[in-house]
Amino acid sequence: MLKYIIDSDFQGVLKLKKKFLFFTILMIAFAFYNLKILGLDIVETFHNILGLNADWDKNILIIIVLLSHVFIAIYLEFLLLDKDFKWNTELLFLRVDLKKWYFFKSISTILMTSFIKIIQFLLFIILLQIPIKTIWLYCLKLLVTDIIYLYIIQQIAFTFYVLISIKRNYYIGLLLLFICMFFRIPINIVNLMSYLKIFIIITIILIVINYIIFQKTYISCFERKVK
Amino acid sequence: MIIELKNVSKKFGSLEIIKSINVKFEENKIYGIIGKNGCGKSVLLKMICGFYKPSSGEVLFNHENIIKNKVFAPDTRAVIENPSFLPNLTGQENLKLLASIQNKISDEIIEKTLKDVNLWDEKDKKYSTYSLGMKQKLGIAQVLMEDPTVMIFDEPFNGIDEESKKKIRKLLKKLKDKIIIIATHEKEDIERLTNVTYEIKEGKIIQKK
Repeated sequence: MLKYIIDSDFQGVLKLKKKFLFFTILMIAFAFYNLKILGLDIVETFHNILGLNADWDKNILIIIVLLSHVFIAIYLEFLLLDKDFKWNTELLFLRVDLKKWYFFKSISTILMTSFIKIIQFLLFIILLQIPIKTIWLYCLKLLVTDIIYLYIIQQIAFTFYVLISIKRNYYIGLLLLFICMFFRIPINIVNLMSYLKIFIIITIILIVINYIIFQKTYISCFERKVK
Repeated sequence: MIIELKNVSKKFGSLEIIKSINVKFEENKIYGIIGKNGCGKSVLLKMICGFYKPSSGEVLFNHENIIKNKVFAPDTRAVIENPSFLPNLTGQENLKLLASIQNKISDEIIEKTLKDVNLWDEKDKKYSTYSLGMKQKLGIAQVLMEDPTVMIFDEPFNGIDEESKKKIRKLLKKLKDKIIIIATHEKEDIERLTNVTYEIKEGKIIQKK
């Protein structure tokens, strides 16, 4: 079953290749701006283009870059959920039970997010000629922290997806809530590397909470497009 | 297997699509559901599958309330809207991937099913190149291949050639111990295929045949 979900989700990700390509071009342009205009070093540029060291007292552009990575993660989450609830309903859900679907979908989502992040990291490690042999462990830890950070945001997005499915009017309220949350949550992923274990625990807690919510409200996700 | 809808109603907002219907579906019968576009045929089929919750009433499979028990219709396969097969895979690959979810059937059965719906010659073509009729046939194939007790089809013969229609109708008529529910506009289905026909009119269901 995991194979079906992963294959199906991967096809969904591939449909976005033109959007990803456009975004990558913007990232390359921003890298050029960091290196040549701002005169930053390659590691700092690497951090900036991947939105890894945003701070409220830093350049607003870096926060915008982080927000764009967050937006892509949320967009991906909604897309992967819509794909199953809107277009795959009878093919999938008459063959699996809810618990299995939820469990395998959670795995598939983090795999898709990881796939995108690994491509981004590798691309800019190569383009910027990051000395990977000396700092490979640092890059790996940063990659894992980034993936987990975005996955936590995707779990929050999942909760919002379910709530919006229950009542479409919740959309504005939830959007405002998310904006308020964003001002309170830590946004510097480089600094968060030391808290990776706590992040993993938070992720597991969110997955469990979301399952409890989802189990009680799953029908709303199927009826979503009709409301 | 017996499927019962007891006093089932369905509202979306203030609009009541289905009004307190009572209907039973039993094995060894082919049921037709007819009605104008937008009358609620697909809504009814989705409630039977467990994808929509009735605003009131119960959907029971062998006396078990599937919504209350948080399960989808057991031993059921359906093609209700345009199913989202994977475009970069062939028809056969799509069926194999679906079959891998429960691992109940062999490749030989998939092969036989593709022949039954006259899709064997197109099995190696990518789904993205399929015509409407071919897509419909693949949708029907995924219903048939795992031999479920309950088979649900929503306008299954749209775009399908006459020869294939005849073949699939003949196949459905031969099946034993099945509950087959077909929402259709085709007169020939009603006349030749179904044992019982219901019409949905103004949210109510009436037996026509």
